[in-house]
Amino acid sequence: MPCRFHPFSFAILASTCMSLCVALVMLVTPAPSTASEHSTASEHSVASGHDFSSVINAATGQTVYFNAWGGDDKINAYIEWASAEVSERFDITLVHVKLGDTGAAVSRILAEKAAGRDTNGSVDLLWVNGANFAALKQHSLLQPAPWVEDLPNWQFTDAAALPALKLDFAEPTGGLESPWGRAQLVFSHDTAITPLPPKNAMTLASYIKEHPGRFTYPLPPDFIGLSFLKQLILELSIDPSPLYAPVSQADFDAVTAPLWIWLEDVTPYLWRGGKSYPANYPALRQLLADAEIDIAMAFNPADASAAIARGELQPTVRTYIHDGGTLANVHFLAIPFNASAADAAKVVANFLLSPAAQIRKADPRIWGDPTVLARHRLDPADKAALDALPRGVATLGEADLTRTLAEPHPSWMPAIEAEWKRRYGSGN
Amino acid sequence: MAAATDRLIFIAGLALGLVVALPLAAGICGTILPALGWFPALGARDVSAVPLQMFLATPGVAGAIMLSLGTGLVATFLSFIASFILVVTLSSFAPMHRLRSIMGPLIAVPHSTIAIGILFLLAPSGWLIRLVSPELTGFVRPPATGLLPDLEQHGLIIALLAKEIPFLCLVSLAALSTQPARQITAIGRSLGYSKDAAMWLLVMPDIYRLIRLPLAAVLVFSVSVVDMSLVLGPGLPPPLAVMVVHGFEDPDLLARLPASAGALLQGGLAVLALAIWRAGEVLISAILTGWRRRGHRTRLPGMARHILSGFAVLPMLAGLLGLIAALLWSFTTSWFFPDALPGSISLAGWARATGLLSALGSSFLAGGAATILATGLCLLVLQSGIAARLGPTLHWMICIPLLLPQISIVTGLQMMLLWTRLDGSWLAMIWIHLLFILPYTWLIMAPAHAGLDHRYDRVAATIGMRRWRRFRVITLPLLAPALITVLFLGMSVSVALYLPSLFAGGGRIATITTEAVALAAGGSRQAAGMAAMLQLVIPLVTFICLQGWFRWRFEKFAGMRGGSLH
Repeated sequence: MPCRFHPFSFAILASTCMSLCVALVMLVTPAPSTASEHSTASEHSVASGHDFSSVINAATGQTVYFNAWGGDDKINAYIEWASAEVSERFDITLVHVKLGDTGAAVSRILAEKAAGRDTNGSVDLLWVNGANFAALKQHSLLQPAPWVEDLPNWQFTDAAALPALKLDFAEPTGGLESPWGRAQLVFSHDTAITPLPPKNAMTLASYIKEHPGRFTYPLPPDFIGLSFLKQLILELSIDPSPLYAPVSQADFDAVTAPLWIWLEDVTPYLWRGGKSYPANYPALRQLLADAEIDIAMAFNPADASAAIARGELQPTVRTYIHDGGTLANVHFLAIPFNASAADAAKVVANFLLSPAAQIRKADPRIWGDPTVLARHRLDPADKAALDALPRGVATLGEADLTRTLAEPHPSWMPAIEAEWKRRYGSGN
Repeated sequence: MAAATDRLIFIAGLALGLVVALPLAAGICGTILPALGWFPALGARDVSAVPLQMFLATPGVAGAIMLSLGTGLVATFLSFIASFILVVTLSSFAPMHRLRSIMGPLIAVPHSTIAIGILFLLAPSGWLIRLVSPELTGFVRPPATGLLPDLEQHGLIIALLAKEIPFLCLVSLAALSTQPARQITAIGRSLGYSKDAAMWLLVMPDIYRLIRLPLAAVLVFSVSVVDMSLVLGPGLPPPLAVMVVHGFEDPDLLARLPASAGALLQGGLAVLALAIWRAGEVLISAILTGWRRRGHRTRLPGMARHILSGFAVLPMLAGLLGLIAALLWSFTTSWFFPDALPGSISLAGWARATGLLSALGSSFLAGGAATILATGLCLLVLQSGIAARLGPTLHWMICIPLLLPQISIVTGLQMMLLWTRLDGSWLAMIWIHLLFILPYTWLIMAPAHAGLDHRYDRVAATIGMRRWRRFRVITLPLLAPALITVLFLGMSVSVALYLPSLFAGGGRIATITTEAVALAAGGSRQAAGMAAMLQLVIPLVTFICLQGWFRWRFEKFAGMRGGSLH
């Protein structure tokens, strides 16, 4: 048989070389020069309906990839409803990309920027706040121009009465993210098992030691897990003022020392000895339902009521907050710089800010997330509908929820996370 | 004729290159280069060991490595021993034959589904404790530690056993059917060995040699498992592969460099595990050889065999019970501890399951397309004759995805997909599924094709039938039993793929398995139970369709009846 060049070897060789080239080119492509920082938000008057109708026209037929944490069934169901609504009203296809951690989407957008993908990005609308928003803003990964106050439904908000609408964890939103809902850290307990829950960090510590294995918190970097740590540090600090300035300006070890002392004290008595933590707050809620633990927590004051209504929690479960108040914040919707469907994303954000969508969201039977709209700016009919919503059997009254703590500067979150991982990440 | 063959060979080679070599090479480069610090798109151009050092400085990394290695070796060793015990028992003890009929379906159950079942069964508030509480245990609340002191690791090992014992069992039984086992044991018995001893000492060593590749695949998978660990709880430290996945989710892009180093390390760990396994092989083979040479006629008491078989069946039983627990949960919302059964059955969850149904559709689409393409590619390669020319090289290249940890390939591939903007596209999804289905397809199709009786083909050629027609009318029907096995297995493998779907889907395409893992890690039991049940729909529907088609098509062919799926 004559010696011939083997066609198969050739094909393999060719494709391997090709793939090597692809890999090399991929790695060698230089990062594009950083786009110039966008201007800060200028004062915008409420845009006329005519301006926004052009946005609506442009949005027709577009597909919005809405990247939102997808760990809670009822939130997912609400987004499904919104998706059906915008499809019918505006001919927009809304796809919920369910994230395990919002950081993953930030990382993706950053990767797209690094790869020079300045248009046609994979994320159109992102549910975000706090440290992730700060990171997006810092790396210029958001729409270059402020857009939020041009939304027709912005008129129903009152930023003077609720400054957190324009101040996300002490970071000015600059009109780059549209408010979606409000949140406050609340704890829940089964009154049949724990009639008198501990209502501050110090009594919580003694409670945990007296009831070994019956308390835990979501595994950082879970948002609620980290928020619980921030709640502790705010309660335990004699002077919390450094927490409201960037972490780089403070003596991190000195400021956070009370937190680590507290954790050092209680960790051996946590659920599974602190060697395992639930992934997020729905997992924590399931543990409460199973009576594996005594206290759960959520950022949504109506979460426990909604779970009771669905039969997922015992009817005897009630909520409470700590005596000194608990963390409260607003969560937002942002549009990345390279969104493929920025117009449609704005239409969706506007729809989600509408009284109809906000009232449905505030219904504890649907989601129970408090509205960002101001009651006094709503039409009488909408106001009546909002007031008529049931509060839910386990939800605290408005008056009880006035004791709030402002969120620390966003830079503290990653710093606390890193130190927590260093101390407890190995499970020892 | 020769030109036509060469053209076919060229097409087959090109297809193999595109489907297998290209993604493998890109995946491996995309892991190794960033692991060495070379990722100029992020401004990293210094080739150094810094990323590796950074990864090794992650808190808990030593524990993670030991955990992965320990879990992988223990789970693989136990599933190997248990499967051999069952094979020996099955070969002689008639009632055990029923076991076969549950093992077949069990290997089609995705890993993550099994893990969900084990979680629902063995957690401190799981079904097993509920069944006996408070009557036997006195527990009105779940105990602080449940049946297993360390649910994350022990539960993981049990879940792996429930999945791998039936797999290794069926592979061993298939190997056994190629051996003259009956004659060998007869000779052994005439020499005074008990039937079992003859099986263990004379037959099983040969079987072992035949199942080394599946064993290696099981070992590599167990050392690098991600989905099952995520379901069974975020223990600290997590297994190494989970730690790597977390690294890729870090908002800081530069964290991908140490994470890539972690993926590379995971590859090294798999090699280390294989080396340790090999050392164990040498040791045990020396002991066994000595034993055989001394000619001991050891008799195991019959009881011992039954007890051992009982233990070997336990993990599968746990797996099945877990699936029942998941089924119950999918139809209930209120089921509080310590009730043994849910108080009421409710369809409310299923009424809200539209999101899960679209994920199910994605799984069907990705799995169906990838399976059909993989089968087609296998047929092309086998018909072209390229396999004969290339020999073992081809075999090993196709099998690489079985022998490398998935994480070491998919993280690198994701970097390439991101760059080519294919991430989150159907093309990427089907491509990556194809890559991981192909080895299984190949391992079944190649021997079936080799066993074809070529005289039929030649007779048809002499009466002037064209090549394509001969393939369609003669070869394909002769391969039908193997084909339906391959299609069924392909769908089963595809629906079970977690990491490849996660990385190729880019969040845009959710499969039922990525949904199930997310819901089991944090979500209501009902939703996780529903997702677990929907995961079973794909193998089930595929099975029914294929079986139905086979019966209909070959009803009149007496010789084909034995060839249907079992």
